Amino acid sequence: MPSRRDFIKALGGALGAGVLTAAGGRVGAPLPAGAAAPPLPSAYAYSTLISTGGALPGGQSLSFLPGPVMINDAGKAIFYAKEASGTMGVYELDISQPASVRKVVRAGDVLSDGTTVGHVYGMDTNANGSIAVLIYAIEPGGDPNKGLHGAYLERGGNGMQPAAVFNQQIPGTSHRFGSHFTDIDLHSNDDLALVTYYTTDGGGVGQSGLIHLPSSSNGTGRVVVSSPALVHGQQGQVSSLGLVHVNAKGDYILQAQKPSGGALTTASSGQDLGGPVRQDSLLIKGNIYRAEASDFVSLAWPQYPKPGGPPPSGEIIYGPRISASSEPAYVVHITDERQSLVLQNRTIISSGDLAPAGWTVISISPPNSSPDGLYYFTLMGFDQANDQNVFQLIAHNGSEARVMLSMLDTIGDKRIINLLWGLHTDQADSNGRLAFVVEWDDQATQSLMLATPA
Amino acid sequence: MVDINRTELATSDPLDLCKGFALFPSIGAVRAGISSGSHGGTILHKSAHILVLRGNFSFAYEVLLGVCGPSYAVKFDLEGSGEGKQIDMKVSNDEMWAGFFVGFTIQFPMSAAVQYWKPGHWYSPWKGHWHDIGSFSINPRIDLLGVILFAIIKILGPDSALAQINNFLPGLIGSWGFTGYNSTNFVAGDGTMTAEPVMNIPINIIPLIPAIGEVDDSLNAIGLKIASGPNLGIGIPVHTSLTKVDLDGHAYEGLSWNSSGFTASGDDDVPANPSTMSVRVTHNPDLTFLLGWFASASLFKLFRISATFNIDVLGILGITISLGTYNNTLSNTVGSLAVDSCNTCGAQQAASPVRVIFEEPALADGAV
Repeated sequence: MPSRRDFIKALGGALGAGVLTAAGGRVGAPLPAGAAAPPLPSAYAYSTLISTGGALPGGQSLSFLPGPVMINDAGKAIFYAKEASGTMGVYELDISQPASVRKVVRAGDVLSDGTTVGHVYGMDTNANGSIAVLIYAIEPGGDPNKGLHGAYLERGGNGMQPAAVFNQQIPGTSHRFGSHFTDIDLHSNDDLALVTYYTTDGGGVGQSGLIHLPSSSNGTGRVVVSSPALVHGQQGQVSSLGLVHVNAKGDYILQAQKPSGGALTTASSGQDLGGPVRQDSLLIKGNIYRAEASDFVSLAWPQYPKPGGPPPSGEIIYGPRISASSEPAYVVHITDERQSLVLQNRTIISSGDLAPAGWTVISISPPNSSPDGLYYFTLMGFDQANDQNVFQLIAHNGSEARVMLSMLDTIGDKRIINLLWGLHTDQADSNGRLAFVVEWDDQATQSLMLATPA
Repeated sequence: MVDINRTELATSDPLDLCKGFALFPSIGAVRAGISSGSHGGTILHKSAHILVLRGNFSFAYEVLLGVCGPSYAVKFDLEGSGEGKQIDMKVSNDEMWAGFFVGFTIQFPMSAAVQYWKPGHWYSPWKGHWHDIGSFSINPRIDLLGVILFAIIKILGPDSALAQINNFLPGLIGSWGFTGYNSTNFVAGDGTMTAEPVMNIPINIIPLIPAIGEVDDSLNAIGLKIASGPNLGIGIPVHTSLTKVDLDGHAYEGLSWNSSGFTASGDDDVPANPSTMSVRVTHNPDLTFLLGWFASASLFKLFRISATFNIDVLGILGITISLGTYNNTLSNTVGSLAVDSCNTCGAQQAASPVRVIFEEPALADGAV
């Protein structure tokens, strides 16, 4: 007998759109008594914003969606895409008018500073609808193989302006930006947080740092965290910094590493003049407007994770996330192939556990959070009974979980065989709407989808 | 009154860093000479499941490094007079050059492979497959300094202290000089002359190497960024001063500087017809020498793996350093305006690995 879920799927197909109920269930242990959890939507309506073959500006068509997609409170979805000509670019579409696609920046564009875009390797948006990108740019008349990296900011759809480029002085400091930008986060007031190399005054030793860069021209920038440097309360020096996420309050979570065991270099008398140093993962938490990191999560030693138990230890490979209420949310790689999801300082689910559908979880995506306090992540596994790989998109409120989508769910007249989640932090807006990329069972079509709580 | 004819005192004329005094002089190796060495190792080898991707990243390195210096070369003329136990000397034509010549050839085997899990058609046997997104294995060998020269010049400006020189060590693809001239002279500096070459180069060199360009482009197409490069920091402030004058073995110290030179006094009367003049040059070097290497792979805000590595450059060259005060002596025949060339040092000598062991500062006296 068809289930209600099958019925809804069929209804969605008949309507040419999709409304799927979110099946309830528990993933992980319940919240401690007295802890409040935001309500989970009981169903989501799905609509296609654009699919491969769709029209892009300049007479081009969309040929490939690698997965990075963002949504903001200005009602815009921003996505990274490949044109039929093979050129990659960042595009924006109005959720209420998805046929209207605007090019934000693409390879080959000449920017306001005269440089030519080689490629984009980082991007972010904020509630204002501004967009920031990290660009590998080539100087006028320059060798395409000798470009420089920089952060660019677009406000009001008025074109990219350089915000931080190679050798530019960091406002309010005597330091200069280096040539390697690791990550970017655009947050309130169009302020930027940049993880980048910088040089100290007088050309001293280069350092990696989390730099606060205010949007206003007379604002004062600051090095919030630097490497190598001590982090408040942490033993040992931070050796490198990675991906960062900043919420609307300015609270951030930062991926970092610190060496453990051995020294960075050994005595010159020995043959071992240096070697790979075992590096412990570290999550640094603080506020972008204050210099000192307020907290950290050290993940030095592998432990066996237990649902509801304390966070396991291992490596932080995925970009960590911070919720609107400043709770860190992250995945720990306990081994190369074993992962655990941590929300609200508790292990929620790990590789080897059973997904709501009953198959064994192999891997977990980074958990993105929405401003209303929900977390969204995908579980991936392999259904041995049917000899197929499978996934489920889960909404979680810290206590309960709802399955939003599963492999082979039908939306409209097509079945999903793949869903890309977690390639970017901002995949949910204040209305609880989600944007993500799916691949359909014709194995040829991808779509940028919008999920709206029903 | 005794006239002391104008005399040139110099490490070489014209100045040559490879004939200059080592900033960190050693027993038997007062001259800077040439040092070389090589080293290799693994930086990062990592594999991981990431969503429906599986990746394998491996970075290694092999370094061949040759350096002349770090050293300083100095020249100046002294002339004046002596009366009783005091000399009154005028300093002219004083010039100083500090820094080093370096060639840095690096070979960095690297490989990366990323595969993407894609299920079969849903009504087929539903089997998935790993599909290659991109992979490469490459072992480029580059003149590192040559590749990043454009960045160095961007940092230091068109008046960069860095310039290409002739190869001074076989095996190096390219060689570069990193030098700084004095910004002032002994008199204006109240007896001290300083040269300070400084640079700092952290840079991702992957896009700069044509051999990797196509691979890099294909990875960029899916947003996967592979980065690897040096973090090179060098600063050599060198402060030199003249601290003693010897005339035929009679020492005059306690130099007091004035608008044209200095006066100094000793225990003995100034000899009537001095034939040899020796001047002690004291220097205080400071050295920041960092060569780090970083390697990372990242995909937007999904993941990032990285490793950093610092190379003990001086250790590769067999050099240990002690900061402090060092003395060297320049000598010449009074009245001579030419200096002997150094036949056993300099950029043109046959290169071979040289182990230079440096001494405690207090023992560091050498003479030319």
